[in-house]
Amino acid sequence: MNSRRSWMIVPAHQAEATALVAEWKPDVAVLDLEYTVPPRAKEAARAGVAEMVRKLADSQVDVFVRIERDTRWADVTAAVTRGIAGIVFANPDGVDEVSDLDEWILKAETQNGVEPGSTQLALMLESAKGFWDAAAIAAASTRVCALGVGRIDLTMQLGPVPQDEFRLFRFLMSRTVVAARMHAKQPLGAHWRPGSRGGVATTDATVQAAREARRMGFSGCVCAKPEQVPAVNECFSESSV
Amino acid sequence: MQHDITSSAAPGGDKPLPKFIRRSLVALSINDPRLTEKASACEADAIVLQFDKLSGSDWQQELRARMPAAIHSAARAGAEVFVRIARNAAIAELDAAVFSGLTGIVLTGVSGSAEVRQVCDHLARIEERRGIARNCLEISIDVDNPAAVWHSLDIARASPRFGMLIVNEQALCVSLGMQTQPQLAFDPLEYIKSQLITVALAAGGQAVGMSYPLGLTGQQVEDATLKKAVRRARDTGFKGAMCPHVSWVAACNVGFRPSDDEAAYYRKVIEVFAEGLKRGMASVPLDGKMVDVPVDVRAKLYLQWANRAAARDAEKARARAASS
Amino acid sequence: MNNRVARCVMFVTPTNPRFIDKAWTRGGDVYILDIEDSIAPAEKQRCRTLIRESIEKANKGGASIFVRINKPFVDADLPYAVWPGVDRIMLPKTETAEEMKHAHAIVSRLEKERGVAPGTIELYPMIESTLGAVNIHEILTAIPRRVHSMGGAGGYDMAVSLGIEMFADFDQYAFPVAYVALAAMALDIEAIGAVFVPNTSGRVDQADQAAKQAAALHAAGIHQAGALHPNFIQPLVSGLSPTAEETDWAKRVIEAYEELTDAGESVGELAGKVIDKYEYAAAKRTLEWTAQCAAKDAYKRRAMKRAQASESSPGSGMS
Repeated sequence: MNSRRSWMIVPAHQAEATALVAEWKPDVAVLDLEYTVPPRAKEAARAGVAEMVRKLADSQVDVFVRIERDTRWADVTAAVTRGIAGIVFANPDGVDEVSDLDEWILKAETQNGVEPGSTQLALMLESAKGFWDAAAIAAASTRVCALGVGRIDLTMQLGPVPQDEFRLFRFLMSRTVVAARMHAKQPLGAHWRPGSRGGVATTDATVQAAREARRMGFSGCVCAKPEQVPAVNECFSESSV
Repeated sequence: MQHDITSSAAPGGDKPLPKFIRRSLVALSINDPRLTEKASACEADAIVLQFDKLSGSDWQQELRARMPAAIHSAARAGAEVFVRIARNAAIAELDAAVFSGLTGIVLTGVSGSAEVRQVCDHLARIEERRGIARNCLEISIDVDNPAAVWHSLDIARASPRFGMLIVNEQALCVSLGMQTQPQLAFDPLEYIKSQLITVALAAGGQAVGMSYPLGLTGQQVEDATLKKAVRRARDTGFKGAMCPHVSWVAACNVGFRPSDDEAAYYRKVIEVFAEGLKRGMASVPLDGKMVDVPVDVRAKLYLQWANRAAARDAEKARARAASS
Repeated sequence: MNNRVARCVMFVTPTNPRFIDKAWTRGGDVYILDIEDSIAPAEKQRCRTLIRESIEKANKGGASIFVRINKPFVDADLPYAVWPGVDRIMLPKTETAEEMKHAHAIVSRLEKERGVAPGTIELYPMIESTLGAVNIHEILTAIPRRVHSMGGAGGYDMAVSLGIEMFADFDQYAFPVAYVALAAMALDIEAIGAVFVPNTSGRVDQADQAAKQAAALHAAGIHQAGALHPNFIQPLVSGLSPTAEETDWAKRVIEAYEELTDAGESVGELAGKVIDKYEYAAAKRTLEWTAQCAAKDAYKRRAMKRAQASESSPGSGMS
């Protein structure tokens, strides 16, 4: 298994998805059914995701699909098809939610001819409750391969503090690394700083965020934009010594 | 009806702060031929003995034979003596290494409270077998893995034998996937250290550790740098540090206690407040600040700390003189 | 209608008539009638007896009233603290769920006896020790009554609990503050929140420190702060109120987002800034905050008018 440093978000409703992956070569292609897909395009995206997974499965990249919380059942059924490595689930609420999702994935695997148990889960923590129960959530299913810090400045309304950080950000990163490592899961995250909103981080900002995360024990992060992939790959390749 | 709530660190409560005067802790190997010499020269408050288990030998028998003398040697200069025990070989190691003269053990590789309770039970059996006073042996935890961090409160509360949480910075960095060279402008273990300090105190013990980056590098540095680093560690709540270098010991003995200036200030506070009380005042000005009951209580607590540290130094001096 | 706005919360000493009689003129959102650390032991009993009449003195300008009691005297203090007009009782140095249950039982009984709707008075466990910090989850879930949280704080007593000197140039309370804040957030409990602004001088009376504090809190999204000195009140109240620009922007964001969703979109742009569900949620919160502050300010204005009118009318009895 290749190291999973860069998890590149690719909108599932856009035909360019496969081309983008080929161009930017992330370690993980995250076909998105969530934030980047507007409601009007959601059904079509869901309908087309299996085909997209199949197309990408031949390449070197690991294919994940990011599902939307509120529609996770339909999203999972559509996404868990031959070629998928795993599901990215943002904002798990607690242990029960994760084990329920585990079972739903098993149903989809059986239904869609995917080897049962083979679909992994990358959990992105985005709520206070999630961070509180982080260790239990990480251990809630054997499918869990990664535990990450999600878009918490937005989801948890963490404003900037004078130290050029988001309030509680480093604490929550620290908590995530501990919870992930104690269960041998890959910690995902970057030390994003207050700056322009919208996830369009500059290369410098991306380098700083990823490099610091690597030094805080993380081994990969989400790339909201393809342009971030090279910097992220490089920073998370920094050796352990 | 009043509630007499004596919490773990209630100002004016009957529990001193810190619980132990253990400002400097030095690790020495019983396999080191210069153990006695090093222990005698060492001015550390505590010595943590460790041993190698050489394969192809009956290490248990050898250890049993050597430990009592090793403990005695280590204690010559007045240090408290502990022995490092690996959790996953605890029963065998405890049998071989725990003898009278020890203050307690430092348990490594712990990941949960059940493990501590098991060790605690076995310690009780050894105390009985070896004529050591019941429940006198302490258990301190070398925090060296993420599970120990996550479960630190349960671990610290697992037994009334709990003494210290010792931050093993190198091991934590490795186990968390961090680098062992400091390359950040901030301490990546900042929140973990603060957590272990908070937990240890809440559980009635205390935490041992050093500030970043010295805690990670363990280097020998110039005096000013060392002094600043020890000060920062104290300002975070650590009550002592492991000293990988002899040069650290003196700085820790001086730094992990109120300074002479602080002690003088606290004496003044106590004096001024007592004076004020005599004149019926409940709040007295001193240097632009108001001294009231809580300030007076803190002054007494911290001055007691300074006095106990001085007494510990005197005790060690006497021990050194007696053994030379 | 008084509401929960608490841009500036200040302690007042009921035993100091000069202070208590004039406190209402200072413009604070909340006054805390203190029986604890600002009151000398010899004065505590007299102070208890003054609480009830102090409620009306201190809330004349439209402020809400809290009462801070003593940890060692919970049973003795509460009967003097539970009255109509008290919104919240502060329990210093709370460390266990047991303490919460004990206080809750007494307050519940007194509410019934005194004609206060049961459950009206909030309890606020103040975390001032390491033990309180690590026990925070059980403390906040101990009772079936609305609780408030400080969201983590350092301060004098926490410093003593940690055995540290105060006013170092770094955040000495990193874990206790963050951990308590996380617990409150995880339980959806309203919390004050804190931001580390270095104060190596240790002085508590400097208005420019207050303005700095307010700006930092505002930027971090925190809208409540404590004042140790009257000089802090105005800087905090104005600094923690929404600005006209913020409110206008929030309205524009809401309009833009609703247009987006009408068209089946979820991400758009306004004046070069991203508009999405997160910005929409933040904008709604800003407008809610604006409305709450406006209501509180109006309530305070009306109260001030009434108070000033009664002061200047003949035979008002005001000296």
